[in-house]
Amino acid sequence: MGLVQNQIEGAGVSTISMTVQPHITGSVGAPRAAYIRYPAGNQLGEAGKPQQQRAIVTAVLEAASQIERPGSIIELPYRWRRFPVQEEPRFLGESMGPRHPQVEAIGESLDQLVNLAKDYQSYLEKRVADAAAAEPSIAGLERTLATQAQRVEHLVDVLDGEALDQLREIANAIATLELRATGKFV
Amino acid sequence: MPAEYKDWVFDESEKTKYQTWMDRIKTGHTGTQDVRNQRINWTPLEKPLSQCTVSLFTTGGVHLSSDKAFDVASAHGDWTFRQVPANIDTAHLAVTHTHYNHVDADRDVNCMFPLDRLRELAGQGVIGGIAPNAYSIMGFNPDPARLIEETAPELARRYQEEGADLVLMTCG
Repeated sequence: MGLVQNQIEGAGVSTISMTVQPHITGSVGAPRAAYIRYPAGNQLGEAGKPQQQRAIVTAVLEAASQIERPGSIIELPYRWRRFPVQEEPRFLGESMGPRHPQVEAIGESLDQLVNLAKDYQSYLEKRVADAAAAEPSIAGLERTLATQAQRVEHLVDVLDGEALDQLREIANAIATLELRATGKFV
Repeated sequence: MPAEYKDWVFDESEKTKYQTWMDRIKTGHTGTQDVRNQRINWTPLEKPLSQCTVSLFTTGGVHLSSDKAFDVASAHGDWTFRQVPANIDTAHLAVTHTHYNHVDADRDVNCMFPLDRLRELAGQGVIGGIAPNAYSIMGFNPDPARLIEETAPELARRYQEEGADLVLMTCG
């Protein structure tokens, strides 16, 4: 992708690429790229979801007009939460490909964990504010609480980023293998 | 509602991830070349989006159902490209690629190749318009020599001649 993109940019046409593997995009080099934590084949979202697709296309085009540094990769704020994609009424009866109920259960549990961790983060942030306002103040309490609140925020990032990415990539890799083995892809 | 962006950081662990991936590809596909851009080209986008002619490109293996499919049987990949008229009914598009899950794209190509969405954005005036053709390749090219020497310069020439200000590029 980056190899073609760079030549188009060199011909005087601005470009922005979408990537789901930024380590490849970053290594090969691309003038502008937008990283989305979605599966390959679903960069604009789900089948039959035009509003979602339009929002993502618009976000990427707007990013193209905002990026100022050659070689930049920006990350879009979206997260993939369907394992696999759930059926849309207009597509009922179509093949959904392989389903792995265990993966869906892990996905739902991760969502719950993210929400619980966010609640805990809010609670700790409130404690920080309380400690700041407390009279008399306890030495170091506000700072220590704030550090722990930041660690919970990092925990949210790990659950909502790396952990969700791993699950999505595993599920998608297995699904691709199974679909290829059944001759679904030509 | 505009999306919030953050800069993605290309750190050592991401560089290692690339090297691990490249080593695996080299083991699996003889003739693989680790080709990288030696310098990054830059054409600033100087017009607002509402005045830009936008075009589309994908490595996802999209082509007209009536057109010749990409060669997915070759161990060396397929460096050729396909032209997709921007006014085509997307029901007449097919996907030929064996390296990613395109079950969704088979049903609604817009989740990978958002041609209908670009037309809507042009209709709403969010973008100025759409260039007459979009282009597609099938991204599996372990040795990208012919992709770089033949396909990329031809595509660059066409996008420029067809008046594209901005090309949105998606992968499979």
